[in-house]
Amino acid sequence: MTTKQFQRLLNRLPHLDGETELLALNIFAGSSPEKKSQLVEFFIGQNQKIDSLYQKFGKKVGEVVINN
Amino acid sequence: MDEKQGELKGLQSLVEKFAPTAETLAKSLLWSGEIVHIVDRALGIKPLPEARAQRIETALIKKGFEKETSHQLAEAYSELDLGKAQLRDEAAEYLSALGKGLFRGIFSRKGVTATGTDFVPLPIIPVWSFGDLMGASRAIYEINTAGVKQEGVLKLLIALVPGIPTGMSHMALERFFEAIYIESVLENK
Repeated sequence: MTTKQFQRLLNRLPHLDGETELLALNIFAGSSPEKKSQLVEFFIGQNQKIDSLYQKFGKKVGEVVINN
Repeated sequence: MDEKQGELKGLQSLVEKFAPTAETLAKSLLWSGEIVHIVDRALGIKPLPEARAQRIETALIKKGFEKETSHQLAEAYSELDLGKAQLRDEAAEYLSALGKGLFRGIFSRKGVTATGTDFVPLPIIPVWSFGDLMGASRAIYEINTAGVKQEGVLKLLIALVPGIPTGMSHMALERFFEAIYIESVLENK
C-alpha cells in the first residue's frame, strides 16, 4: 500500500484527530514494508470496529424513533 | 388534540422536514454532537461524556423532541462517542509504541544516569524543518511542564518521526533526550 492509499484509509476513520493521523502517516513513511503492512492491518481493524459502532448507533436511533 | 399528540406531531414533522428516515435523523444527531465538540474544543474544555450527553439531550428537547426520546437518543450518541474515544486511545497507544520503537533504533544509551548526556545520537540525516523543531520544542516544553504527558509525547512524535534532530542546540538536544527518558521511566514505573 502506498502512503497515499494509507492516507485514504485514515481519512475514512472519523474517530482519529488530525494529530493522530499525522503521526500515523509519519510512522508509515518511516517504516519497513513489514511494519507498513502491520499498520495497514491495524487500521483496517479499526475501520471495521468503527463501522459496527455506527451500525449499532443507527439501529438504536431507528428503534428510538419507531418506538416513540 | 392533547399535548402528547401535539408533541408527537412536532416530532413527526421534524422527521419529515429533515427526511423520513431514521438514518437522516441519526446524521442530524451526529451533527449536533459535532457542534457540541467544536464548541468544547474552541473553549478548550473537556467535559465528561455524561455532561456532553446531557447537553445533547437538552439541545434535542429544545429542537422539539420529547424528553424520553431525547434522553434515549443522547444515550445512543454517548455510546457511540465512548466507542470512538476508545478506538482513538487504542490508535494513539499503538502509534506511540511504534514511534518509540523507531526512536530506540535511532538512539542508544551510553550511561546509567538520568541526564541527556547519557544518550548518544547515532549518525543522522538532516531532514528536519524549522517547523519540526518548533513543534518538538513545544512538545518538550509541554512534557517538562507536566500534566500533559500523553499529549506532549504524541506531539513530540508527530514533530519528530521519522525525522532526526540536526542543528539543535546542545541544550535543546539534551532536553529532548531527557524527555524521552522521563517518558520511558514513567512508563516502566
